[in-house]
Amino acid sequence: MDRENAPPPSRKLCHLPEELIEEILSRLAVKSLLRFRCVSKSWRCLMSSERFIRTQLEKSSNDPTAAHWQVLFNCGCGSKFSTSGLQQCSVRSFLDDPDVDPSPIDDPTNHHLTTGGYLVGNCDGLLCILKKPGSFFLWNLATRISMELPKIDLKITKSGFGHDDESGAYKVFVVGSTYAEEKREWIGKHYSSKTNSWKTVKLGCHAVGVGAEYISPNKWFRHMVWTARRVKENTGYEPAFMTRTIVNKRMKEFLQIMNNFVYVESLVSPVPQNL
Amino acid sequence: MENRETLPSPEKEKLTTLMSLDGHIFPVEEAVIVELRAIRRLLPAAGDATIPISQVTGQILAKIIDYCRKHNDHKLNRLRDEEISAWDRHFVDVDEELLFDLLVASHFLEVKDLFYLTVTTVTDTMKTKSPAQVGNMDQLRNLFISNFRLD
Repeated sequence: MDRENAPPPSRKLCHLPEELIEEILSRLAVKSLLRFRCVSKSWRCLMSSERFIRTQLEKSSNDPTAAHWQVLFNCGCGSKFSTSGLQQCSVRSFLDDPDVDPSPIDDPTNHHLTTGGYLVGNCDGLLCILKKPGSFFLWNLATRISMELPKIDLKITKSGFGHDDESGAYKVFVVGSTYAEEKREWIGKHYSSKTNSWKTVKLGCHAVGVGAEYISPNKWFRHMVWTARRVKENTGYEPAFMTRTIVNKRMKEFLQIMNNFVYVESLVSPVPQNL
Repeated sequence: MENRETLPSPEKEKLTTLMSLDGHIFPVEEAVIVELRAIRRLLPAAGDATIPISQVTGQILAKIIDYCRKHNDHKLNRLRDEEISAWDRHFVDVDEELLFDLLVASHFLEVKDLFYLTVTTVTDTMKTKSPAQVGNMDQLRNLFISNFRLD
């Protein structure tokens, strides 16, 4: 605490200590962050750091005002996007007025992902979209970055998407059958963003058919089974039909019901680091 | 003569003396010290000595003390929620330079509520700014990082 120090010079945002800049930036909307990427090299560096991406995601996810959350429309679970295509509106405007008209997604490069597909799930701001027969896409709507996963040759029955805390990878899980007419086999495959590849998973089949439920000792697989089961319960659900129940529910319950349909804007990249 | 019992004189509230960077003296009561978490930790060792706050000017320190007093009033239910919210809004309705000074000082002194109030205010103003308005190539930034690192 040296008294010889001169009084601090006039302050601008970028003059602040890095930890304070980070504190401020981590609360901004992704749109604003993308705009400020060009302010300086250090800001750009900060925004692409893994730690900052996680901090921003955590702050956004735990924000009780849901300032940066969006609701997706026209994407009933287990069924194809409706003819009007994938649309969205902010959670805030949806809660203010459940009859609000959603807007088309403003992302010309990825427009092809808004029609003719299935919403597999969403996690940390990344959407997983399936375009049959076997094309999966990971898409961050806020940053407009998307990536197609390596194709797989399976007749897909069920799929799920989530984050595996243990490995730190985003994973897509698929259950399907081979195309062979005579000996149709049920196969499970999972994709890891860490390896950017698919691996086959051993399945212990209990009952086979549409909406089959699988049991396996693998902990992560059990989570995906749970997801698939939930998807089955909510088949055909569209947010627009839930207006009356939603208005009376609190935020947490809202999220539980909306699950697949609500995503948090984040900086998480769909592109694996090693690509 | 009646032997009247003399009432004990009320104990004088313990005041701690703070001194800002530019030499201004601020005697503050316990209620305020409690809010300045960074200072509170120094108390047992400091004793009756004046505590120098060499990173904060008198102008800013005065405002922060004001904030602490007002929020203490609110805690003691002398102010309603709407009143303190309105007061807070007015408190941060200042020019950018002063706002940043308050932000840095409240972080340094660890006045948690004020810190988050200033951060939120800055975040709100940034929504409408352009990169040019926010940025400024200036090597002084590095000077600050070394000044404010608390070891």
